[in-house]
Amino acid sequence: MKTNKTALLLMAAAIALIVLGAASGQQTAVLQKASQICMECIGLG
Amino acid sequence: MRKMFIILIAVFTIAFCACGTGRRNEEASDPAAAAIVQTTEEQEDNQNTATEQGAEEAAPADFSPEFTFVTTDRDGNTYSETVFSGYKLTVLNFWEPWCGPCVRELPDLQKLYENYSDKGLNIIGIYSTSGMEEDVTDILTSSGVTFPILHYADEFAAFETGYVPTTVLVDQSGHIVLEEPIIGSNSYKEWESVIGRYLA
Amino acid sequence: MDNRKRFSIQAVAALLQNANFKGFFSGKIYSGPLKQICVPGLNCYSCPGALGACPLGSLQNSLSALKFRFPYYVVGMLLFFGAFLGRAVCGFLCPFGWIQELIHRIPFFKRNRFRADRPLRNIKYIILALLVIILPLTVKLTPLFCKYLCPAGTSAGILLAVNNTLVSSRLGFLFTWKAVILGIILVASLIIWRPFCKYLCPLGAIYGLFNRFSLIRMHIDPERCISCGSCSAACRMNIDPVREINHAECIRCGDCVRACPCSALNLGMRQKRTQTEISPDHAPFDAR
Repeated sequence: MKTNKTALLLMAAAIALIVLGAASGQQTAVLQKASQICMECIGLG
Repeated sequence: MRKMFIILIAVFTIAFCACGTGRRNEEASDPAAAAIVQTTEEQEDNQNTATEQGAEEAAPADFSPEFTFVTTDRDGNTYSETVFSGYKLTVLNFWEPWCGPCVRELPDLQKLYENYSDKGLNIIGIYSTSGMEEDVTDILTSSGVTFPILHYADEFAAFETGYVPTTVLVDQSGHIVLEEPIIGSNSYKEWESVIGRYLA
Repeated sequence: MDNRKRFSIQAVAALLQNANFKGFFSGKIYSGPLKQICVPGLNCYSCPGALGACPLGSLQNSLSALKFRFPYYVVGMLLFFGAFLGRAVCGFLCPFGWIQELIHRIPFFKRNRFRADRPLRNIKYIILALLVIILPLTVKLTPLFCKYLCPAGTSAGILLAVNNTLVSSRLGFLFTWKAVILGIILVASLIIWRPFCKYLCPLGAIYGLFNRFSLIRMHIDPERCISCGSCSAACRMNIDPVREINHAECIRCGDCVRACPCSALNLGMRQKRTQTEISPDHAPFDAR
């Protein structure tokens, strides 16, 4: 079905983006910001 | 299904209630808190010896740092715990370049540094985020920061509260002054009143 | 699939995404390598149990960094979940969605259909555009949705504050504001089914855009459908599956599938056609 292909294409593009981001270390940035709490950033202020 | 619903509610309620018994009883097993509590006693001993010797400057014999560290600043200069001995009070400010409140208090810390460094205040900023050096440069330039900015070292893990910014005060003998680290950012006035007690 | 299965999946998903149980006792969040991964639903990284990073928080943080770098990684994760599941994430995997459903089960005055319902659904797109994308890009270093609105973050923050006097002593006006918002949403959940998901959630807004072509989506067999309206009556997101199947508001809860007397609807990769695929506990003419 045509629409099934759209989903698969998008998922493939998504994986490409994830790999591209991981190659430039963006997942480390996610980790760094998710392991220290900036209180004001989540409304604790 | 109703059974599962009740069981799940019970589990979450128990987990939630268990939270209440957490932290306050944990001080014994929390090394950072234990270290801080322990030092206030040692610090009192050292202060007595200091007044006995009538020392106004840092007497090397008194320097008994609670923790040691070796790290570098952004220009590659090495710093260690000996940096504490030159100042009555050192403000160790742990910040991150993605943390809005951390960055927003840097100009206030700079002003504090400018106003009180002749009274024995030193401020040291420490950040751990990697891969954001351009951001750090921008932040330090626009905030006009002149106090030392160091890279994070594993020895600082004792102060890991999990929150940023976290600030720890260290005196001349390398002892931690406050029982608990300060978490969250503060205004210039708030910082002034905090350090005022120790710079008199 | 019957309702018990979806409930179990929601429960397990909530548990797995927050499996750092010792965090609830120590008051410290998990900081290990799993936090590099974005979970699909709204689960704040600051929850003591959270094992992963919230995709919405990660997105805002990436966009509001001083030096802009396109967030390939986070966008890729959002694109993946959206293209795969669309708003089935909401219906099956989001812990905050599940919490609203649990609250709704409490007996109370219920009013799920009212005229303002449809126009109010647009608010989440404004929140997405403004608080998640545009303002973080301009205001810098501030995840605005997380800071001023997100009730999942407020819930997580409360879990941190009950444990830790260092935190609770710093709570002020901002926290009060967010606590009021959380309170309103929780009370609204008694009356309306999943009000946050309907009117406010920017993550749901994102995933909803994928509904029409996600890999897992709703299918209707026009040959079986007798236009009885049972599906529309059963839908608690107030959609008519016959006319608006895979609408951006559909969270794929499956109520319509169960309500249909002719098994004309199904959720999956492809349309269920043969008689043998119909679930056996489904009575053919279950008039309501």
